[in-house]
Amino acid sequence: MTTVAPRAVRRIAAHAAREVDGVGGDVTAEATVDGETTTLDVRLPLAYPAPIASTVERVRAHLLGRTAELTGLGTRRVDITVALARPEQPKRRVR
Amino acid sequence: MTATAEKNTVAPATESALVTKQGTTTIADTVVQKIAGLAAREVTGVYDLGGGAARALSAIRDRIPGASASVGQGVTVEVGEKQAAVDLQILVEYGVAIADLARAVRRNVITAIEQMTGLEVVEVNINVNDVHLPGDDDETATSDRVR
Repeated sequence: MTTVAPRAVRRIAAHAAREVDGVGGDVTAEATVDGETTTLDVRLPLAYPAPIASTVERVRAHLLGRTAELTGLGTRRVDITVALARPEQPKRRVR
Repeated sequence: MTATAEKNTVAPATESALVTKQGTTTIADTVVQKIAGLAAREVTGVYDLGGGAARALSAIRDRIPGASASVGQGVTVEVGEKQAAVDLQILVEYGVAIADLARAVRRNVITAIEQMTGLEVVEVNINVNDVHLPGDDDETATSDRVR
């Protein structure tokens, strides 16, 4: 029997989310492991100009494939909370 | 006395490599534990063995001159007369498929124990309790000090 601790799933998911273009920073993930399947709850900080809907879709698609591949657990659903859409630092006009 | 006498008469009927008419060979738990620990570490993708507390203790032990890290860390075994069961706590590298890794670890551990001890391995349970991310290189920080 092989079991994967929620801590491991959580860290794999958080790291995998950062592999998507446009995602960086403090991604945190919660994982609920129920036998052979897992449910993820991801908190995703996105910067202001990023298109939220498409980025979230890409992250979800990537996580569904990637966590299943890496953990061997079926990934049922990925809930994503977009956290602080903080604007990027405005560029200074003068140097 | 009667119990041992009974055992002796029963044993030859189910003779194996370890239990023979001329005597039995017993293998201590620690032997199986160490073999399992070494075999599991041989597999690429296994970063370490043991839970958080065991690994923290071994980090301290590593700093004591003359003390060696425990090979059997993260390995629990149950050894009978002819059979053995193994439970492993492992920490994997990020990027490996855990299902494939578990299969490789299981095969390696079973082969190593069966070849070396002659015990039949009935099960190897693997619990992946954490993942090592490329970012948390705590050990490179110490090795970087001296070049």
